[in-house]
Amino acid sequence: MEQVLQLFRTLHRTRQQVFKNDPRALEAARLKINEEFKKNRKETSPEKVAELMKIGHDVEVLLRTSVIQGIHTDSNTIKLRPRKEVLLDNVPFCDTTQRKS
Amino acid sequence: MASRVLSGCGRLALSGLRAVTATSRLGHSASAALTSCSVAAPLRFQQVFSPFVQSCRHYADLPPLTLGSISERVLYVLKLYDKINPEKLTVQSHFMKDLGLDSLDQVEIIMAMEDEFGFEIPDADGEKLMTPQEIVDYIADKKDVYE
Repeated sequence: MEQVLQLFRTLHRTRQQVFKNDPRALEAARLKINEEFKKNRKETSPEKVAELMKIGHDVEVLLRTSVIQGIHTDSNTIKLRPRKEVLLDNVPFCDTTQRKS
Repeated sequence: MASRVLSGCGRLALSGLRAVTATSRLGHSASAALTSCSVAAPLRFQQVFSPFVQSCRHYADLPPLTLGSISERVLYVLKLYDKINPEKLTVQSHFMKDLGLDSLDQVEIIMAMEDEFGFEIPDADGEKLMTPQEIVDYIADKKDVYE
């Protein structure tokens, strides 16, 4: 139960980060998250709950790592607004542990 | 007469010497204190003549919270929440029993409070907050607001 609520909270936090300054996407994502949780609120079988939790975690990771915001600035240009999580450094392979970016 | 003056001088010199040894024994801190004393005096003078220096400093702080303003903001956030009927809302109404919300809505409300007041409420504390009054009390407690 606590884990479900925690996942719910994490999803909403991620949503707020990923769709920052975009009221339409923020609201749509909010409704979608709520809808999915409400739809399965009566679920009692532990296996099914675990499976749904897995989906929820995957969605959270997906949102965090593969969604990127773009702003239409001109008729044919889109300005990207990258977040820290989606930026990968072009670093050559190195055996020693790297400083976390 | 002359001898008395001389002995007086000697006594002065002696006491001066003793004072010097005392300061050298105390070391740097004493001499530092001495110099800072001599520097601080004119500074203190300046502050006396410019009382505005202190009174103008706010350190970019927000206006202080009061129980009234917290309660107002909490109710404002709740009224904007789409699943709450603003007419039924009072400070004592229970989210689940009186307003018909579930635990998911309650989590959303607590998150909205975190955004409004700009600090994080741990899950363990958040799930106990079931009425607007409890939220107000919790925030007042965390923000050190008493009356």
